[in-house]
Amino acid sequence: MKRIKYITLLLCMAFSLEGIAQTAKSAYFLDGTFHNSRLNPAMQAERSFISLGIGNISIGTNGNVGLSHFIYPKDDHLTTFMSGTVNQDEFINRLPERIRLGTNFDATLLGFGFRMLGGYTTFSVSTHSNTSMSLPKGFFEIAKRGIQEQHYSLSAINMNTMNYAAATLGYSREVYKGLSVGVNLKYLMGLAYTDVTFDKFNAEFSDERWMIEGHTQAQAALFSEVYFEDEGQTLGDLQMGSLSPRANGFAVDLGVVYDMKDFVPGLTLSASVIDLGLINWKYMMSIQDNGSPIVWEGVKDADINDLEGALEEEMDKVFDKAGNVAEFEVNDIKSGATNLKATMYLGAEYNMPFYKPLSAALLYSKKFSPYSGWDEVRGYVNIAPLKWFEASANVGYSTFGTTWGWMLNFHPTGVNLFVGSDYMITKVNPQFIPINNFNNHITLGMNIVFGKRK
Amino acid sequence: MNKKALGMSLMGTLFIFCSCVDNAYDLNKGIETDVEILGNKLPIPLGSLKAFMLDSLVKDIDIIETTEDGDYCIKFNGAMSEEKYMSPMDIKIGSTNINVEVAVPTNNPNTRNGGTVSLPVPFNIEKSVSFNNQVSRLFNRVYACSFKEDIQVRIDLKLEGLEALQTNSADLDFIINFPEFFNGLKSYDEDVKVVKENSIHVTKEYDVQSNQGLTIELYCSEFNFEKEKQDGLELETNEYGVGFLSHQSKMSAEGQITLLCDAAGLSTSGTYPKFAMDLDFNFGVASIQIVDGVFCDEFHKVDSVFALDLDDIRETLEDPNINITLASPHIEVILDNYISSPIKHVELELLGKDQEGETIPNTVINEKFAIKSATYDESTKTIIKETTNLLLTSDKSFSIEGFETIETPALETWFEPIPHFIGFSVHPFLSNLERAHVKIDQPLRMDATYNAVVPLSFKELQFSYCDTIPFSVDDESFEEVEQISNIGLKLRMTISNTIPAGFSLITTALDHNNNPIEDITISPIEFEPCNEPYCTLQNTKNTKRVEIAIESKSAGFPKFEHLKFEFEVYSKDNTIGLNKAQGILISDIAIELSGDIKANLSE
Repeated sequence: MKRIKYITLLLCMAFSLEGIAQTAKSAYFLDGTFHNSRLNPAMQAERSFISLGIGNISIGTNGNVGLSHFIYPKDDHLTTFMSGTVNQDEFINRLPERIRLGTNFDATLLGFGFRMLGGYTTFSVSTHSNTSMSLPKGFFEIAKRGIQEQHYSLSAINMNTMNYAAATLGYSREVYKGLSVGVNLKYLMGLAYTDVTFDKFNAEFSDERWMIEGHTQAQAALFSEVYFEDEGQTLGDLQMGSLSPRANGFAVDLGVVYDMKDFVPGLTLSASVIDLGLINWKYMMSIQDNGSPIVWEGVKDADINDLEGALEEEMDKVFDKAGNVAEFEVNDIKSGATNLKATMYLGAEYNMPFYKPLSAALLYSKKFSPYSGWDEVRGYVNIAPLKWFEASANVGYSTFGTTWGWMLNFHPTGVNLFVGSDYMITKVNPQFIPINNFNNHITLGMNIVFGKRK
Repeated sequence: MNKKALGMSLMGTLFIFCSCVDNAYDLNKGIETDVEILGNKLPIPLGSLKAFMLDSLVKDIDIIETTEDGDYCIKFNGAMSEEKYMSPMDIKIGSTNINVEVAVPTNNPNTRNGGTVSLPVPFNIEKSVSFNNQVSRLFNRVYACSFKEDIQVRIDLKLEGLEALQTNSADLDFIINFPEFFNGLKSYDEDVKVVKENSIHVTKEYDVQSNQGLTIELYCSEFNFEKEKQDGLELETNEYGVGFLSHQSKMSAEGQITLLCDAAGLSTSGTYPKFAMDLDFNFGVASIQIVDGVFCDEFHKVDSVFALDLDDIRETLEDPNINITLASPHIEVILDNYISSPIKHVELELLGKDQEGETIPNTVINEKFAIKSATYDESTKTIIKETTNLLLTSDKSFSIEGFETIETPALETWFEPIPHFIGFSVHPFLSNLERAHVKIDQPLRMDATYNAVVPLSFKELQFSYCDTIPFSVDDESFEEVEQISNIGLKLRMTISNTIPAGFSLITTALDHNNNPIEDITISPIEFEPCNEPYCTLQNTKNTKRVEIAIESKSAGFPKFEHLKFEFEVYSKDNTIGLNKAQGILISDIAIELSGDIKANLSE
């Protein structure tokens, strides 16, 4: 049995991999990009490429709240939402039902793609980090309104981080007139994983008692061997063994692209599901609390002349019990599997008949996750005025609010440079903290391009 | 349209999405640290207090005791003892002593009343209570302390040594004066009459030989201290603030005891053809007969009643023949047990016997006594549970001549059906017109004990109880809070009161110098007395959820370190009795913030 400090240790390690998202969705409909196969394996780059280190870097944060939800301008200074000058309803009504925050990091360390066997083959080595947190609105409602009810029941409190490296081998080809299919096969090596979930959080505040009852469970794993020192009846410190990988996994991406030129000239439909897979961690700690409620009922049969002393004594008992509740039980260190959070994309693009380089497009994407899942619909205007340059502007409505995106992609012979954002910060304070929500994203990369265009 | 120009213009629009800076949220402006926290409906449960029992107040007052039922009472007891040689004497009961006057009733001119012996009797109520009055608690007014309605006051008198007088019985005639605060005395005993408000007159025939003592049962309805107070009654308090009366009251008695003598005590001088004697016999039950076919387990029959040896009497008589007249003939049958069927009759047989013990035929008297109840003029009477006296009467008179002894070999009773045991006594009274001399030449020892139990109850009671308890806030707990303002508290609690007295509670907040903080107002509470019978903390319905609002008049809320409680207890019209099981239970105490807490958090 070990204390929660190990969880804290692992959490710190996980959050140290702070970083961001997947390949930019703003580039989904740009034909001159070289990493769209990460979003849809059926998509083929126009030429062959090699990526070294900075081929595709993507960093971003997501949140459905921002600075303005918690900090309010007042005269010539600022105040917090806890100030009496901030209207309760105004504060509460602006908050979403669940407060969501997340960070993503995605970097391609090595990659290349080329045509072979009648199709397009890609290979890449990349790292991924996804961290998310979900809090119910009720927490902030209690903080602002105070205790108004006798009973509170909150749930769906989750913090999760998944960090892994992937070696991806992809292949796509046209299987029918205008119909292309593709698949990415991924070998995954887990780096760190932590999931902390409060299944339930019930609280009672009455004249007779205070009661807080919850159930917490957490899982944590590292890429290497970990074990506790054997100290007889008790467990010793957590130790790391050899650094050889002990977390392996496999995933697959599936995609299809259909050019409808025979039916609706200029219309292209696409669909994909990525990250269907799991990672098996050989050394995973599963931890949960003992579920005992913490109850405060005051003192029983106290002497009025020593009420203060009796209260202190009773408080010590409750705190001792609370300490026991918080002393989590470490079930064991044993192998366990964690699923990747799959994402689905459904896209449609229509090239304007009056100006072929101009297209309008729509992309629906959905991430499957009980706590950190999201939905998004994004509309695009794409333009490729030059053979070596193209751009996209888009606007999306998602779980994280309304956002703007853009992408500039330069792809002349020999080199590819791109920069863009799926979540454009529209307003920040002088300290560059997003005011309306914490959505921001930047992606950029450089690839060596060679060969002929398809 | 130039397609390239269109494309370039669209591309330029991308940069419209550039970010902009809003200086309104510049964190360098500083963030106000005033916050409102916790809201205004946060109850903080504190639990419950020990039950406040009356016994904790009175347990150290040694004058107050408890009965088996837990009722509080005051017990008086003491004893007196004296031995004197006396020959016809008077004993008088004085104000501080009991003086018993012994008068031998006679018409003989030589008879004289004896002297007087004074017996110092500690028949005084001299209980005074002195208590330490250093504790800062108050006790104010007590108007009256009354008995419950018709509460029995029992006084046991035992006159030990009186049997040495060698007489059978005595007529007691004396007066007992109770202390002034005894009011409303009542007596349901014909022998005990209340002659003044607090005096009784006892006239009673007393069995000297058995000398089982005398129990006087009285009923009292008031114990009026106010009256006593007028006579200089002082009120003192003990360390718990409970007051009690400190006084010296006296209980006195005066009267006389007239001795009635039997034949054995008759003087041989003088001629007394008729004599007075009081025969008191107790008979056992020997058998039972069946009458009218009703079967009983056993028969009760009095085989031998008494034998009266008339030798001594004969010597004093000119005519050896004795006329025995049952002038007031009755046989008293005392049935101690339950009889479910009527008693038919009782037969008494008197036999005259000669010197050889042979029965003289014409002296045999068989008399059947009819049953005549004192309250029912019926020939048969059904006796139920309680002990009942029946008078068996006969109107006949008869004479017996030529006998040596008179025996009553059998006193037969018939019952249908009869219980397993019947105890009864027969008191045949023989009377004459004269009383004989009695020479009393024996030392007399008189021992008297008394034991009075006075229930403790009150009427129009009112007293105050004042105390302070610490109620400080630990500053270290709020070190993050620089200033708390606009705070109010509500103190809620459930009170169960089983004391038949109401109370009001006034609370005042005190600073560290124990001075009242005027800016803090605390609402008072009132509580009704418990009027339920057998009111206990477990089953009482006299429970109420009360709320004490603590508010600050000023913007800030001064910290207070003590709470002062002024507890007023009162009972108005009804007389209340106090019991050790009575008390007050305070439970489910909770503090609630009645307003938002505005705090300034230190940076």
